[in-house]
Amino acid sequence: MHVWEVFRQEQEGEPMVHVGSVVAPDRERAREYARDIYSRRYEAYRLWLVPREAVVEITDLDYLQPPIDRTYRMGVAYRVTVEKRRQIKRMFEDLAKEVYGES
Amino acid sequence: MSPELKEAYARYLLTLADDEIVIGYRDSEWTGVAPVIEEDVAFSSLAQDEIGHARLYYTLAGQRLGKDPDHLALLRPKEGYYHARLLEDRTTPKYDPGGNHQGGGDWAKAVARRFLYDLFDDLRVEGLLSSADPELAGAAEKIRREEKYHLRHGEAWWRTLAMGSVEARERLEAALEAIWPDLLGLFEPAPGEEALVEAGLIARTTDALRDPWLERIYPYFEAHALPFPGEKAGAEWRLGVEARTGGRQGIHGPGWDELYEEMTMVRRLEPEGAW
Amino acid sequence: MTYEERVETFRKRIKEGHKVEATDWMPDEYRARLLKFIEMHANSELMGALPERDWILRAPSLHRKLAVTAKIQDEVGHAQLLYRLVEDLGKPREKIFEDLVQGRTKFHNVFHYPTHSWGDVGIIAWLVDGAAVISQGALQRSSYAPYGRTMRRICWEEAFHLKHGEDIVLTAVMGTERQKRLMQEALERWWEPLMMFHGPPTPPEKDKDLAWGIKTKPNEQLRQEFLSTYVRKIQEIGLKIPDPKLKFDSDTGRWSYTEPDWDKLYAIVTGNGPASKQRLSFRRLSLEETAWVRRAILGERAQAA
Repeated sequence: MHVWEVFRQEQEGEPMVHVGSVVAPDRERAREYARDIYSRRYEAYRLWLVPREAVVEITDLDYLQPPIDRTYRMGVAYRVTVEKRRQIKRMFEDLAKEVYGES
Repeated sequence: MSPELKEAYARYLLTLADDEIVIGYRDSEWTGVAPVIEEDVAFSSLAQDEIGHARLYYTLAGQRLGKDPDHLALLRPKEGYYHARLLEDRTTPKYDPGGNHQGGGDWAKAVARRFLYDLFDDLRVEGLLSSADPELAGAAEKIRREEKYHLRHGEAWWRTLAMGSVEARERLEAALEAIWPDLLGLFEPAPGEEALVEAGLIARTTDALRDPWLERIYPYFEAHALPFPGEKAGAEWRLGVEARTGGRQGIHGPGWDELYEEMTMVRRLEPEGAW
Repeated sequence: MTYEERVETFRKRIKEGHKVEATDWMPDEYRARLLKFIEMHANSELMGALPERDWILRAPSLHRKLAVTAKIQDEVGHAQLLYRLVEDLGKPREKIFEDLVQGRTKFHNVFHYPTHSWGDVGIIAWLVDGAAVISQGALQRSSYAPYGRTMRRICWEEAFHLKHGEDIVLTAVMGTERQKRLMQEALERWWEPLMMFHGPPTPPEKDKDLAWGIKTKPNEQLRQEFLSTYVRKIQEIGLKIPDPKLKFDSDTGRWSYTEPDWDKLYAIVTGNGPASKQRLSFRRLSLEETAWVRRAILGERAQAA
């Protein structure tokens, strides 16, 4: 008997999500059992079966989420953008007043 | 449609439905007691498919007879069911509330019966695809899309039992030997089938399916050198077993007595009531 | 870090709401409790198929027949999901079944009772599954994440069972006197087991499964939720609950009821219920009769191992 990990896509275009596993003597029955355990009520658009031995797990958090700041990769570092835009706008308005006077 | 043809057609639809409901009922008993729990679930799906097919056929028959499908399924007299006798025997152990359970559960028989019946049914349903009755043809098309997977399931188990272990093979051989007369009983025709062929409602009479079925099942025996009770001489099959018939006339055995009692038990309390 | 320190860190993480996965490190006691808890749950799903299984053949219409078969198929499907978790925690399936039929492991009290009529089928699917959904709903937040995920799936399917059961009961109640009586009598049979279902009112601080976050709500709270959800629904359809002491106290916001005999519950779940021996002997019989099939599919690989 072998263990197959089962991944399910619930609708076309959605990601394959791990839903559990089945034990079966061969691929054919793994297919049947996966269908019957994980899609009895129209739940699956697609199923993937992966032999458990093929799964490589990485759980090392220092590796996955390094401790030194990486936020420069994300938008959070740019929250000032809006404020900068406002300042620039004000700058041009001031400049216009200087050139054309009050209007 | 002449009254005779109409009667023969309704009878044929009931025969189809009765075959499917009886094997569906018997296979549904494996829910909870199959060899591995994944298989409980798989076998139960097969059983539900068959009951679903029976419901389609009962609905078609009901439209022609002016009867409710549930009435046809559950409220006919015991001798008014026309399924093949092969399908009526229990293959699971039977629970007894007092603890004197009946053993005799036989997975080999359940698997062999289901697979060889499915191969028969596949040929029969194939002959309905071109029916002059578009409703039956439509039902047959849908049914075949489900039965395809039943055959795949059957093939996998056939191989496991034939090759998995000496013990499994012996059990498969014993089961086959016991069911051969009833397997051939599948080909007993319902009354009036020839008129149905003439009217284009079905492609072939049930007895005409026997040889194509033998052709189809023989390779599965040959592949694993399983004993086959006959051989082909020229274009003729010579078989060493006699068919046990009667099912299509409503003649059944103790397996049916037991099943009929159970399946009608609750409904009989209030036959016309809503349940 | 010493073992004790690791355990302390683990405990703290659980308290903070962190989740544990199958391949994570866990204290021996956590693993042992988890395994026992999930194994009992899995056994209950499997043994729970038996009382209802008797009614697969007897269902009174084609629709009911299909729905009952599908429902029981779901229960066995749930057993499969849960046994997979138990196997991943380190206990092989053959051993699980051996312990079950030898009476070394338990299953839920409600599956130790006989069924008598179609009424039982309705009441079980509606109220026993209803009681189960309340505890399983709380288990969705278990500290053991694979268990919590499995509960989400199971609760989704149980919701269909409740509708199926409630519909059986409502249809019968709207039917003849005889049909209605089937439901009333079944309710009377099942009320005591239902009141025992969530277990004795163990003080939360003494409940170790609660401390480890394996479960998330104390027994009594679950029972109160069950009563709040179902008592009115039962009474509204004209069925009488067989407990004269049952009433809601609006001052305390709690239900009072006749205290079940907890020694009796203990006797039942340890194999002395009215149908315990019959159910276990049937499970043993079916396992024995199919042992050759498992040997055949395990084949050479198992012999070599």
